[in-house]
Amino acid sequence: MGDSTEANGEGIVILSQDGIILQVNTAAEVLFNRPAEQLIGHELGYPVVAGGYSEIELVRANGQVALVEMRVEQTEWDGRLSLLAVLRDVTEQRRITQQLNQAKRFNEAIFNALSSHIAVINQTGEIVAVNQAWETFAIENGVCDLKNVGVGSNYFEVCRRAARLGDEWAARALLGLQTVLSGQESVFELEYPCHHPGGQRWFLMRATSFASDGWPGLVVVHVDITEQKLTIRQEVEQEMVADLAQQRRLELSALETLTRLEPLGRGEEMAVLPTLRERMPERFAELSAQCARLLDLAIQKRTFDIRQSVSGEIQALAEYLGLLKVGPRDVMEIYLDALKSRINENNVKKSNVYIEEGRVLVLELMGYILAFYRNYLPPVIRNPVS
Amino acid sequence: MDNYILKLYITGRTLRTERAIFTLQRLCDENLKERYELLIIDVLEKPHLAEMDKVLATPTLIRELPLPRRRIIGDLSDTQKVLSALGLDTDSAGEIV
Repeated sequence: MGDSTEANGEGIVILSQDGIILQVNTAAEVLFNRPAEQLIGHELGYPVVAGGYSEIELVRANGQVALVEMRVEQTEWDGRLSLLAVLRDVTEQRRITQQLNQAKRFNEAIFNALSSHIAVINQTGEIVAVNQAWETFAIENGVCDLKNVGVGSNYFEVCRRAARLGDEWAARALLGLQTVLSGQESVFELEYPCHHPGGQRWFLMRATSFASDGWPGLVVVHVDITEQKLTIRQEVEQEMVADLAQQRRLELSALETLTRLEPLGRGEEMAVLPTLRERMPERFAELSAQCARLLDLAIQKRTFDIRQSVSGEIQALAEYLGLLKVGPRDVMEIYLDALKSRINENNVKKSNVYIEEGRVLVLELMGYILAFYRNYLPPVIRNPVS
Repeated sequence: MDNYILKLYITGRTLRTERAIFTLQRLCDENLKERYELLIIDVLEKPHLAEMDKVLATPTLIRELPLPRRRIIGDLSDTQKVLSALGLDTDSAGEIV
């Protein structure tokens, strides 16, 4: 039994055609954890193998179990046709393989559970692994054959093709990936738009270098950042609207202050003249409502791009005000009253639009009133000097 | 027609042992109809039975009846070899290994 098989630590068992143990080597004694005297003459059983070898468990004397790979050959022992069973202990090997498989399955489960789209590429750009999210995203976005973007395809080539078709983001991505791969940068990040018929989307691409078993590669991760982008955009817009609203409030406040100032360069009797609001409060309310309606029309004209002018109606209002002999203070009071009613009824954004349109409207109104006074009031009043 | 009493010794419930049980049951159903009794014994659960039968390896299939007793070990997926080893085929004197 001192052959090369024993030297390799393989157990040898010579069996009769009935499965009775005729002889064992030392390695077999170790495998069975029993001395040869307890094994020889004992019935192991007729060894059946399929495909060259089979795996069996040895029930050892200490109660432990050893997993062995068994090969069986015909042989001759003491002049009789016998069987030679070669046993190789694979317990540790199977345990390690099982652990590796478990670890692999665990890693794969984590890899696939990640919502980011992840691909691992080698130094030539070939995709060597992708996660489930990567494949799902590809399928959802119209990729019919995963061979074009899945394992085995070339990521650099995909970027090159897109860049040749004018996709500047693909060109930048390719450059960035190669920068990381060459070691010039350890990480490359790129935010890019990826809009589709369903709406706007943005992604963050992040490439990190890594080395596995000596070969360099990249882990490329694409993360959907649409929600963050939209949130940031909304916050900026809200800040801008708030700033604008603050400016408008200051403007209105300044206008109100102006309307309360005493006229300059006039006598005492002029300064104490009652305003239209004081003289005719009901008429003032009607005029304020009419002004507010004109503001609505101006907004509609702006929103729906209506070409029909509201100047005619502004002019009519101006003439009516002229007949009531209103002054600039009255006009401003009517305008501010109308504007306030609209601001109170609408949100900040729409209020800003009212204020913007109101500026133009009130200037136009003033202009028409001035023209009315020039045309219809006596010359002495129009031009006191003459 | 003899009745068969078969004992199958296994070690734990693994994919390999489940496959051995399934193969053997199918083999018995097809070849012995209702003339057999198959006992599945896990050496981890009933080591005393394995000790009494002096089982050194699993899977071990023992034909208790009809006599003489026969015992085979190894891969039970090759039905022809198993049938032959149990003396159930018509030309069981043929090559088994």
